[in-house]
Amino acid sequence: MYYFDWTATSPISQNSLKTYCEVASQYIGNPSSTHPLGVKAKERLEAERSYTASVLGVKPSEIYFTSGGTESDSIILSSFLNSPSPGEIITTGIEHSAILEWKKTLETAGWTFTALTCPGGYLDPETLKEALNEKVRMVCFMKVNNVTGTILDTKTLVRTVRDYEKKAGRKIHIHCDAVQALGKIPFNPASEDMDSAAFSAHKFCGPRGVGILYCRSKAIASLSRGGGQEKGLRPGTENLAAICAMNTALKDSIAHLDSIFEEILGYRRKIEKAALVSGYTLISPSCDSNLAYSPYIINICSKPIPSEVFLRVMSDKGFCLSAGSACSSNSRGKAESVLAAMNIDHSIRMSSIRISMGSTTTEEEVNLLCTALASASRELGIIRN
Amino acid sequence: MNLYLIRLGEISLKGMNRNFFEKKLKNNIKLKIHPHRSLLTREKGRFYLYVDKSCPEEIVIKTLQTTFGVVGFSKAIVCDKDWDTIVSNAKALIENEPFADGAGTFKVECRRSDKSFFMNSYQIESELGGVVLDRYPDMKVKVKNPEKELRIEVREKVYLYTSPVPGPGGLPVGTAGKGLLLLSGGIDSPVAFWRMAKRGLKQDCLYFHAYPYTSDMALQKVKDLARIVAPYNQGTNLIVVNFTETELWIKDHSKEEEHTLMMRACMMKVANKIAKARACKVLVTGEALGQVASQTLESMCFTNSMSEIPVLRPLVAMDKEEIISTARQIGTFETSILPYDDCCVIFSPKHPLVRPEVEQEKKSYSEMNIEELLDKCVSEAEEFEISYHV
Repeated sequence: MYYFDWTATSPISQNSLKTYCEVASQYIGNPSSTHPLGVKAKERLEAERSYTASVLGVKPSEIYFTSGGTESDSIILSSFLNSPSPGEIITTGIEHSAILEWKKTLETAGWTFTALTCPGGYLDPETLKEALNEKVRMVCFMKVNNVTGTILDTKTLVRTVRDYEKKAGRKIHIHCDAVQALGKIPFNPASEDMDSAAFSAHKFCGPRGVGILYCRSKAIASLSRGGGQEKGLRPGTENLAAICAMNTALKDSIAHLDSIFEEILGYRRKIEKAALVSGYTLISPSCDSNLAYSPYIINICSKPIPSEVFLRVMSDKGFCLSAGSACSSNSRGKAESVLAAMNIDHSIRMSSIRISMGSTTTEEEVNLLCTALASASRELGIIRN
Repeated sequence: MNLYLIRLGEISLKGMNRNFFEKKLKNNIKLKIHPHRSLLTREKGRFYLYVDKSCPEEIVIKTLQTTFGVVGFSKAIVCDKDWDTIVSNAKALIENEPFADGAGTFKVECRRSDKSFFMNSYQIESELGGVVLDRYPDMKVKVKNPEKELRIEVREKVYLYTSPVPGPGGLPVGTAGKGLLLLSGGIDSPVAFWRMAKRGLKQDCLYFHAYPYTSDMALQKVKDLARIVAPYNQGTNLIVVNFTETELWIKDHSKEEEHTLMMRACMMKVANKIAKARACKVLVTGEALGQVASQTLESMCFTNSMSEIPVLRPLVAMDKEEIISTARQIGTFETSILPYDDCCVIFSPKHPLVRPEVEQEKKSYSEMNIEELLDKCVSEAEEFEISYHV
């Protein structure tokens, strides 16, 4: 099978796996234990924290190790449930369900949860400016959209919030879901003046079940209770082997960030061209446009063939892709609602196909994909919108 | 051996044909209990089912609950005419259903054909009533219409049993001949299958698969549904026809509003060919009048005109809620509602024809020139045997 579903998860790198095995067998102590083996584990943990912090350009004390993107997002959002006076949280309609699924819980607790529409996959700073009001306590947006690969202009969005803060005289927490950004595009949450950001190891060839929360705010408090690890924000014995393996993967990704980006950009151009020639419609921004996008993700439309039918055909040809929407699977409506929040027409949403790449994607695989897209189009009668 | 008493309903009223129905029922029960040894005898309008002790009780109960012709059944105990033995067996019996909850009303009913037994019927009933009340002090005796009964027959031996657990009723499967059900992955067709099996019709099932337009999960769902209802039918054969080429041909060779009708027409044609080859005398569908565009009276008239053999629609006059209620009862509902569509949206017209004119549609059908493709469907059909085991 040829793997083009890196946005869902990436294969763990050999280096990362090696680190995991080494650390898991060599550091047997619990970092909270006071005996020498515990101290040794604690030292390694703090060294890893310093490394992660240096990559993100933040202080080690602002780094918390978690189980992944969803938990990192949840720690921040759930923290607002502690507030005795609920206000408003503004986010975008194109967020991952790790954010959007909090709507019901927060609304039950008296919060107003506003998800702004993002035409074409971009949040217009003017739309955000209009939505800001004295009740807003938090603004949350993603860096790279996981369905279409659009890159949000987070610098301007943060500035919009900070300008409003000065006027209103009240602090607003800014959180960024940067799961699809880290290890793929340059990203520095502190220089962008964000208060917190979420990351996940398995998106950049690290292991599953480990991630990072950057948080500089002292006001965030976890709903979880336990042994006080990660300064109480993420209690539970630290997964040292996975944390070290994550940092190995991060180090490799950062070391080759520019060269891989250029390579993937070339593949992205090739796929876009082949898709357009074969009659597919582009849902992601075009390479020829001036819009900001991640080349790692390209979303095309297989109209009139529903996504799930198209995926089956491609799967039979040996390609793992993913649906931008799922019309009859258990995940019905999730990515679909993201595309709806981008104001994309229903008939296009139902035929949305996500192709995503990563560091070990080869040119040969891309060429085979382009050929398969062409033959699938002929077999199924794909028609440009 | 364990003994079960089986109450027969409608078939015990049959005249000259009674033997035929009873023989079928006996065979149906024995087949499901096999390889465990069983023996069935008929006495006084009842079946006495003796099952080897190696057979788990659960299998016997499931068998009797899924075999049409069984109106009710109860586990019985046979013992010697010794009072202490009778009491200890009665105590054991009331630990099970329907007495196990220890609540409600009951009576003890005795038949004493062996008049030499030292107690009379009234004495036996009183004594055993006392046994029940000692065990379940909250129960109350009620002679007329009690909720539960403990029965004792004193004959050459003593037979103890409780009021019967309901069986599915109906007529033994196979007594009404053989039919072919058009099975989809929806709620209705498994219910139609069950209803026809209840009237004694043995059925094979036919499913139209259109991969990749419908998923293999949809096919798996149909297999699962067939597996759930198969015991009621003493097992079945699932015939899977690859319908992809046919659907694409219909899409390219007929008007959009006629797609569904033409698809139904092709299904009827294929079903007729398969029914003929398998000696099935009727087709069965899960259609209910007016439920969807292809189930209006006019649409049904058209699909009927495409079939040479009768099309039975046992659900035709049922509301969806009634159908769902039966689906829940037979255990198909949860599988039927799994989200794997059995027809792709690209073959479903936005505005299907709801009141087709038969002659016009027959003309549209013949203009498609699809017969050769349908013959290919039949010759390449796959068959899966679905076991009768419960």
